[in-house]
Amino acid sequence: MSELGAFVPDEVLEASFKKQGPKQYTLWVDLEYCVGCHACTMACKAENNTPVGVDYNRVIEIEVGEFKDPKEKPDIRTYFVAMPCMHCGKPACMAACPVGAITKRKEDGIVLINKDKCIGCRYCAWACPYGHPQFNAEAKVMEKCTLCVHRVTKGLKPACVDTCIAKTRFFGEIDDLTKLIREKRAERVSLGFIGAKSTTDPSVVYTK
Amino acid sequence: MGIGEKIVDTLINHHIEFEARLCSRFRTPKSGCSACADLCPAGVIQVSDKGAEIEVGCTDCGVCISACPNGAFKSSERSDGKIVNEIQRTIQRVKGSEGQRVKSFSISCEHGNAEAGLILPCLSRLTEAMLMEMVKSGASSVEILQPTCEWCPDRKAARHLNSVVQQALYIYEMLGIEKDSISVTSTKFNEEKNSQTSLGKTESESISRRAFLTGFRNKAVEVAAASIPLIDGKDNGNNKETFREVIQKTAENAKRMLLLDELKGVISATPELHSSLRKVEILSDDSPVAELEVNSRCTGCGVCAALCPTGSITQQNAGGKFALSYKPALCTNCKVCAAVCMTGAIEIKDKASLNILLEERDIKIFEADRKKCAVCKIDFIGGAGEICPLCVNIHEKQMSAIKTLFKKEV
Repeated sequence: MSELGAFVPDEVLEASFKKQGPKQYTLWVDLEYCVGCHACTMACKAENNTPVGVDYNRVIEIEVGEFKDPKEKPDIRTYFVAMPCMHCGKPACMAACPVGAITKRKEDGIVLINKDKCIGCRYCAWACPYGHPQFNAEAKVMEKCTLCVHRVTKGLKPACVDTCIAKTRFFGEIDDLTKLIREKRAERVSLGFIGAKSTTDPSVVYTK
Repeated sequence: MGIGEKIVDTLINHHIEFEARLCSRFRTPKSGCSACADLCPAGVIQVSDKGAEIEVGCTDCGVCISACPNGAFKSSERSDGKIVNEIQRTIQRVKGSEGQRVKSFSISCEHGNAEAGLILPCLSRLTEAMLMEMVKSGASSVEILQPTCEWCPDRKAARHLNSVVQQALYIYEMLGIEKDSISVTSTKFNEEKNSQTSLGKTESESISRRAFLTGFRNKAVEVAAASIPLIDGKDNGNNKETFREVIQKTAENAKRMLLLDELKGVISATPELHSSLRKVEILSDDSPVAELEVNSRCTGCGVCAALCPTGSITQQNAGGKFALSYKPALCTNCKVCAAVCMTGAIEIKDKASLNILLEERDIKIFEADRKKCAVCKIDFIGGAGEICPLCVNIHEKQMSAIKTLFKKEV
């Protein structure tokens, strides 16, 4: 059983990995400047018309550090971590789907749920290490962040990226984004992914 | 297939029809079944997530009909039911002239003995139901006259005959019929096909030239009209059903229904069999039916019931409970349920008792209380409190994933 804690055998995960193409579109989220306004969540909701209870982009607040002796400088701060779909290189959701409703596009690596195929069983939500796919109770299918594929294929950026008031979200091809990060944030080193390359190989890159 | 090819193919009277809903591969890509494609002598079957597609070049041999455990194929010209009637009529005719019991009923293929009681395009077209009918109609034994399959262009399908005979022998054992009731003997291989019976047509069924050409024209018009959306390039998305809608309607496995009818017929014709069916246990791999159990890992997702191609496993939501029921008579041992179950809650036993093939009652194999989750409002089973295991799991995963971004600090 893989470390995912869900029920996707390693050989099934490896098989889904073979479908990856040369280009991977993804997001760069800079946690340093995110103020937790949730405008990205709202813009996504408006753009994709999601029902109550379904949010493709969820922002989670986390306190990091310790509040030490009051006489000393407190070493504590809050981060707001936006969690869209990671559009993984080895999507656990795709491997877990019993009807093959999830595919990873060859041309740009975007992972999509085919709502005509989906039977709403939620296996993808179980398998995703980040718990991303959500159930739409009206349509009785699973939904997830599409990286605004309908906008991206027309040369636009995802709604969350355009809306960000702190300009702390970026969209692009993963290699280009990595270069951009080194340019813009040369003094800061931490480049993180929310999961390991050896598990699902998430594409969304975080910095802080 | 292109439009031109489609028209030509239909005009050459291609009689094999495929019902995707009964196909294991159509239900789930996790099924590796390729029985039809493996045995098709013409090599014209492509198996994919759409199920099976029969391409141009089908010779209507019908081996796929016998090969598919779920009965996803059928012939509009010479169905299993029609062949069973042919067998019955032939035996009745012989009985009439020879007295009560018919000593032996012979079967052969189009390259074999033209004098046999039943001639099939290929001996692998034979099904267990047909072998039952022979016994039911009063034949004491069955003789399969098999020419040297190695010399036949359709030899790819040859091995299937052995599986069918083996299955039929297990059933005979259960019914207390002697094993040597079926014998396979060699016969001369005829290069020239005896194709007069390939469509099961007798002389009185031949048609006039005018009727033939009119039928030809009408069929061409029908196929051309149906192909217009393809020329358009537009998919009539509004009219297309979703996969979910398609699988909600069960399709009947006519092949299994016929076998059950035959078995019930044999049993009712032989009163002493009612209480003395022999118990036959066979390895799961050789069995036409699976013996299965649901263990405590079941999460109540209902995917097994949704994807079971023959409707053998069903889900019930009455009375604040989630329940799964299993009707062995419909089970074809396709193993889709075990393949799709996320937690491996469905266990197919190593050995199956063939006798359950006759069990047509719904057996309850799992039941649990349902509660509504306080967070996602979806019904769930198991779990400790008011929140479903999935919501708990998602929350834990998110926190754990975020912490990997702050490894040193948190």
